[in-house]
Amino acid sequence: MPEAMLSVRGLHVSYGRVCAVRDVSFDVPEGSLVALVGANGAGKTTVLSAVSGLVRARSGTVRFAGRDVTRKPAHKLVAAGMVLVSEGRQILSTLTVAENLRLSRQRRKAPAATVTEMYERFPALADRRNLPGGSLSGGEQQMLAIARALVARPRLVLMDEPAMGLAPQMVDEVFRVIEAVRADGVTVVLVEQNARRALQAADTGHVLDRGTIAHSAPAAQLLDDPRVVQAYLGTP
Amino acid sequence: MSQQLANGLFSGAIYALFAIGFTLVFGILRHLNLAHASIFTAGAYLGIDLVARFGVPIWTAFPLVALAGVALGVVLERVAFRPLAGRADEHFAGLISSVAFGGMLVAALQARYGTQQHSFPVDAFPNRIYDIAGISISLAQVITLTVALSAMAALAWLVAASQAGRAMRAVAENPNAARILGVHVERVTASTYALSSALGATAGVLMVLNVGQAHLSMGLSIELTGFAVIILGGMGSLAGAMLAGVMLGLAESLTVHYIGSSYKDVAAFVLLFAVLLLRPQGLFGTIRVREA
Amino acid sequence: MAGYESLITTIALVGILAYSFHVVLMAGQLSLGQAGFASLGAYLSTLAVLDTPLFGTVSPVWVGIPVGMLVGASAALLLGLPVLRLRGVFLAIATIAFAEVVRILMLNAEWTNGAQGLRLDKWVTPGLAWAMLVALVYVFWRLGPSRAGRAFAAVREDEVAAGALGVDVVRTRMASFIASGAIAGLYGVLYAYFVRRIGPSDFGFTMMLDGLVTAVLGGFLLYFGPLLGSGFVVLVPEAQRAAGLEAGWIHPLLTGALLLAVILFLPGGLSSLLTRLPRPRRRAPIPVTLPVTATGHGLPARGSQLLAVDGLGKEYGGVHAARDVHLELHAGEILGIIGPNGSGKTTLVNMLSGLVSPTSGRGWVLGEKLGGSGGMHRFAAAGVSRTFQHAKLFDRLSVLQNALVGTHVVSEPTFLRRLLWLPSARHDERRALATAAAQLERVGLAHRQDLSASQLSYGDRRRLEIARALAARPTLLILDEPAAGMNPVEAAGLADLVRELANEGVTIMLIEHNVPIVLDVCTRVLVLNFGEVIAGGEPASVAADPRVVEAYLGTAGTGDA
Repeated sequence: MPEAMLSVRGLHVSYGRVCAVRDVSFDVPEGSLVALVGANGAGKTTVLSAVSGLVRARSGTVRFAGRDVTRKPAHKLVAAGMVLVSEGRQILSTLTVAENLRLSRQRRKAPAATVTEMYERFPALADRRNLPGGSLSGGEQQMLAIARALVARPRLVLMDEPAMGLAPQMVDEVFRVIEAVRADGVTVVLVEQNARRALQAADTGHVLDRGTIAHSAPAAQLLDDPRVVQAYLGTP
Repeated sequence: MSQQLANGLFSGAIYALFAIGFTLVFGILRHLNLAHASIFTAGAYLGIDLVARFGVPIWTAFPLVALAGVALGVVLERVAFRPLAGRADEHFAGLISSVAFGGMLVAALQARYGTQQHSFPVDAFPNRIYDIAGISISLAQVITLTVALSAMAALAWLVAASQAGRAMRAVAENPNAARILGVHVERVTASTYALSSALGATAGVLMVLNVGQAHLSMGLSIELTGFAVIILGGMGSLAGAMLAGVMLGLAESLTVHYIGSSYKDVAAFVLLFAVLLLRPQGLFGTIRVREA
Repeated sequence: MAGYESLITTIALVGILAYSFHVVLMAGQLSLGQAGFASLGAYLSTLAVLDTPLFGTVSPVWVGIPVGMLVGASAALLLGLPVLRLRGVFLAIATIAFAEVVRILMLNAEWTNGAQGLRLDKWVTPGLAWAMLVALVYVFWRLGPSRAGRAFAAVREDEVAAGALGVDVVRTRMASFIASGAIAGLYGVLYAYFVRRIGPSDFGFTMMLDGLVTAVLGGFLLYFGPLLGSGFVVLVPEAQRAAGLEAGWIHPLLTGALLLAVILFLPGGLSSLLTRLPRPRRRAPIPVTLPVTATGHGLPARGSQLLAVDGLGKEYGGVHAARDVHLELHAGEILGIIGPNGSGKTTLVNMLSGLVSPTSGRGWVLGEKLGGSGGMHRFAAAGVSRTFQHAKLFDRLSVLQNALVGTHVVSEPTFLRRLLWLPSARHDERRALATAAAQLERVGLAHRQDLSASQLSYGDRRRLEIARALAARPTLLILDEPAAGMNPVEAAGLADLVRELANEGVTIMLIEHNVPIVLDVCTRVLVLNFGEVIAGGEPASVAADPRVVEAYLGTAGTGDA
């Protein structure tokens, strides 16, 4: 069996004395879409932050494409092909759309053609390439955040709440893009509060509850699992 | 009168060069680097030393001093700012640690050069005076304007159009967003200090060229002028610092001309107060500093 | 001996200068205009000080001292009115600029004799200088554990939390600013009549640096910091000279290195070293179990209306964080507010506690109108007490100190009475201490009261914030996600506490992500989504509402919804 694109083992993360994530392990096979779902504060974002090198794990290992990347800083991981589309989009609002896109072209090898390709893929961005990122609508900003990540030609994309705060129509659009990315052969880890939607798109789902993985199953199976509802609303 | 304005323009160019180094660090990293004035002083002494002792031609001295500024900036960031990253009192502590670093730097200069004033040897460059439309301009002033303008133009290009400049602006707006896009934030931080210090050190040499001597406390008065420039221009605004620097130089000359030399600094501070209270984001800046 | 006289006096003078920085730093204000206050104080006092002793024997500088202090304080007041709106480095730059303007004016005025300066008589003896310093040390010693001293520390640590507990942040900052001006004025007068010659350049950038360095070296968290800092700053060059190191550059190099070392490795200053020594165990405060409402303002009758808002909304640059909220609250209710991330829960309680002003709608809370002038302290004084989504503790204060700040609105000012050792002040402080200790006991933190707040675990931080809010004996208690990060046992304890408080008559608003707790303890539940109220009513009916389930889990894709 080939090694998974991403393999997390026994991940512990704490902020000061607060333990945010405990003993989290999961695999993401190459080319798959894995969803991490769970209530607010369950530790989803923390898992992504630790995997992408933004926060340091207290213990555990993260392997990416066959290499141990546990304590690698974020900028090295981007260069290695793992990018994060973080919560709240984090568009650089004073930089233009074009500058936002070119910023992630860290390796000079990634040709200017990738930027052109993104304009073809997201025509709305092409029209606004010389406007500051802050002038885009919420949905356009989300598209820019995804496009910006794809410019780095990643093998693995981590997406944190890409649908948050968007109107239902825009949510559909975002999920169409996610599925297109995946169809290109890019592996995706998706964190969503919108659990139903995320599980519909995913192959596998992991339900996080208070910092640990409570259930893991094929996504279709979790969709009807009452325990998912329980992880969000608890047992009344 | 036009002679006064011309003189104001030359000192204004130096203020601007000094202040853009100051404001670059503030704009990108939100640090108030009080050691900037000491680096300015160090640049002045080093420039004189290179020319007077080692016989380096003045044109070669500029890039060498700028390089020394780069080295000082890297050390400054490493010693006085990086250890504080993430601490709750980071900004206050950075102010204090930069004061400490600046004090040590000036003490080191005193150890090396003593307390007396230093100046360029008389034969360092020809004492030529040009007469342009009734205004007499010395070669030193021509050099000043050339160096200051080219340094500022280079910086403007770097920040606006290069990949390094994009990374700096990204860090300025949101270090976390920059990090997830693969920007090496620590390296950008160090380069910002390096660049800022190179400008500050260069401004030091220009100052000596214009006023004739370097002395240990030359940093103090330009530090205060620098505050005025960056507040007028808007904290963090490069274009604002350039314009405000020149404005301040002109305002000084006019004050000297019409009111008297003893009040030359008052103009700067009256302007500074007015701007802080009426338009705290500066004439050209946008940062919010007041509670809503 | 003559040599030592100068040295001894210098220590006292530098100490006094450092106190003028200490008093603003302890309130978290980076104000650096002391040189200007000192200059004005010194120069103007020369107009009042005679050439001959008063009544034949008394040093005429006794007239100069009050004059200098008054001048310094007035200058600070006048400068503070416009500039205290500024924060951080902007305040620092504005105040430095003020000092510079004063210097230039003094340099150019006729009566100051310009750069030549004034020659004065020597009226300040080492005894006088030390008497003044000792008086300052005494004042700051008495200030520390008083209500005003705690307000200073609270404003320094977290202005928002201080305001939420009823501390008037604007007045506190101004008080520290004026005190700084008065002390700087005092320094100016003493310096003038000790050195016997003043010129404008004596009150320049260098003096600012000396004062700041001394205050920071000594540490501004403890009252004797400036004294310690001054001893150090003055004696180091002496020691260096005694060691035979005469070169002029050694002193600034040493001072710089020392300052750098302190700020990097010992942020609390030299005085914080002393607190690390083992101390004699303080006597534990009397474990009085006061009911929350034992004294202070009485609680309104059950069922009376506490809050009414109509069409309340908040817009941030086109985004509606909250929209058209209608809400009434009656005494004795436990109102739960739930909703997914970003649904506007926190915005709503921020408006109800006076932290942010609504952009539309109107209403009142405990008789205070929303959106009026004045900050959160107005609401706190009326009886609103709250916690924050991310616990806002005063991190460098002890657990007990945190809870004591909570008593601000229900206790009397004690500082002036403490100066005079009036027994009533001690009585009031004891009572505040008992209130604070009782609330710590109640949330199970009594045994941690001497730890600093930053040392607490996450759950304990949450509990401390609740105890601190309770110490204000609130009529309306707003808890913003108190159970976040608590384990199930802790969360159950929290639910018990909320019920217990409600039984005592406290009205509670509970914002929580832990929905089971909300459904369990609340008498009424409000559900928000996208800033609007989407459901409300009895817990059971809300839990069964399909819109609530949808808000939490999201809708399915359009294909098969």
